[in-house]
Amino acid sequence: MLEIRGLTKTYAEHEVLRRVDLQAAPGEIVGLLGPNGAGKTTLVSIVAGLRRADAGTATVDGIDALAHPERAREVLGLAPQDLGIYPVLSVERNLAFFAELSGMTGKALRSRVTDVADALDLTKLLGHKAATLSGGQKRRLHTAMALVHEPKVLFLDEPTVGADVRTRNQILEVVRRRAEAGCAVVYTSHYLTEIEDLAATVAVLEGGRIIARGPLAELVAEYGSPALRLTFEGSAPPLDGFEVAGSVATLRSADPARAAAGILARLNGSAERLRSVDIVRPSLEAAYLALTGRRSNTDATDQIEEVIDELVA
Amino acid sequence: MNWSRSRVLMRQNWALLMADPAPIVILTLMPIVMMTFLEGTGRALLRGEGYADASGAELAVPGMAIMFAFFGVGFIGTAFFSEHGWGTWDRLRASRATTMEIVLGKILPSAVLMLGQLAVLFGVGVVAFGMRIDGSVAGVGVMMLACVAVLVCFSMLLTAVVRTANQLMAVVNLAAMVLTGIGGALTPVDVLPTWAQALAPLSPAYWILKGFRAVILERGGLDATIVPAAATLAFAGIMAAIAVWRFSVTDEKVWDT
Repeated sequence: MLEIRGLTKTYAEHEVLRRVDLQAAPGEIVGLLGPNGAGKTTLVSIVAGLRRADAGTATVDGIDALAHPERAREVLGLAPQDLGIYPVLSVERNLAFFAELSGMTGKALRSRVTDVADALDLTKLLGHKAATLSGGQKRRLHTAMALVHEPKVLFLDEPTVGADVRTRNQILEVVRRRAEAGCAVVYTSHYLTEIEDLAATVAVLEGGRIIARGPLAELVAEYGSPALRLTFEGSAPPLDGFEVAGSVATLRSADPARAAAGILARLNGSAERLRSVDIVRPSLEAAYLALTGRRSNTDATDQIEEVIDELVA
Repeated sequence: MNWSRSRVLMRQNWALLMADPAPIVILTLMPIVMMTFLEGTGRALLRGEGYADASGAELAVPGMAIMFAFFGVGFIGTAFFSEHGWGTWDRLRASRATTMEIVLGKILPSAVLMLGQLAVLFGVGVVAFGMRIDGSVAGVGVMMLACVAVLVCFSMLLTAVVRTANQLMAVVNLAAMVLTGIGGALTPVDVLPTWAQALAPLSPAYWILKGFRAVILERGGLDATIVPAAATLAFAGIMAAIAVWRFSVTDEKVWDT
């Protein structure tokens, strides 16, 4: 359904994408992860026809998306990272406009608008001007506008940024349902728990390269070993067995909770500079950390400040 | 080019224009107010030229209509800039609509609006200010169309070259004053300073007003509009060529600065 090969993009001297390969089969959700500036949005923009690639190929439902972007757009749906709605028009008009652009008319159009509004809890708001919606409602409308024409390949670029829990759950549910209907979904996010909730195939983009790709369980099993992570004010002190990077010292351990008590006693003078102790469980967060050396924006690890207080006391 | 998609885009842009009609109403009412102030001056000037029964509206109505039509150039530019401000520009580009369809969808509703603005102002000129059209009424229509054509192309040129909405409005206001002032919208070109008279033919407003004068005041037929309309369309062609050269759908435009 989606086949990206050797995609390369350079802005000025900076190589944003380096021979990126990515595939998504019908019904598959690919969670595209990576730190800010990794090239996620550039990748999505190129396949959606918004930017030109310097090299590589991108095929969408058998269509060469780089050579014939206008044809590829017939089967693509895109919810860009930044909110994109017409605030001066009603929710219904926002949805109907993109359905009409895809060629829908009459009953089919009305039915589709009703369905997508229903799926994202917008039915009661159809007559409201988009400007009057809350942040979460706007985010749902933004996502609905990408779904209304029932695309075969759907790109959602950080669709839940700034969304409340309810909105986030509704969007995730709609994404699952689209995938069940056979749509290939590329879902970029900083929220790793969402990727876990979606049971997505994971692709990690770092420095313009895909550095890991595979089913979530395999990636977690391979990279997501448990760890104890200590964060200090200033540089972390050298500690036996720990990997030190800046203010963070990380110990890979099968039982990090047990290791924590012993380690704290060995901190001596550095204990005063200790700011947090985190136990990193086998998870996508841990795998992501191992792969990129960075924490994601989500707080998937367990904060155990209460335990620290007890231990220090 | 898909016409049903183009119609969808035009209807959408018409709805966006009508969602906030205040600027359109102001740009239609303001010239009527100005006509009342300038009608007497126009009458005195025209009687001095030997048009004994002129009401003065023959100068004031086309002059103010053209000046405020130039101010209306901001409509089209704003239609593009607001898409960037709302974050819908990339959505549009990622839809099935082609660049040509998107651009036409933006331009045509605004062009219709400009034509409507001119028609209303000339209608008010005839009904309320006693403006007589002594020559070809069809010629008035031809000059209106030429005027809208050059304004559409001018707006596309500005949209292509400026980066922010504030820059757009500043340039539109300045250009509207300078081009229409030097073109004879406030006073006939004959009474402008010598240097301004020499520069006047470089303004499309000069040719538009020359065409209107030929059919409104000088009893000209449709053929009297050929040269002024052709000159106006030549300006439109040059502006369109520069706009096409400079316009890029990937340019980032800033709505709020």
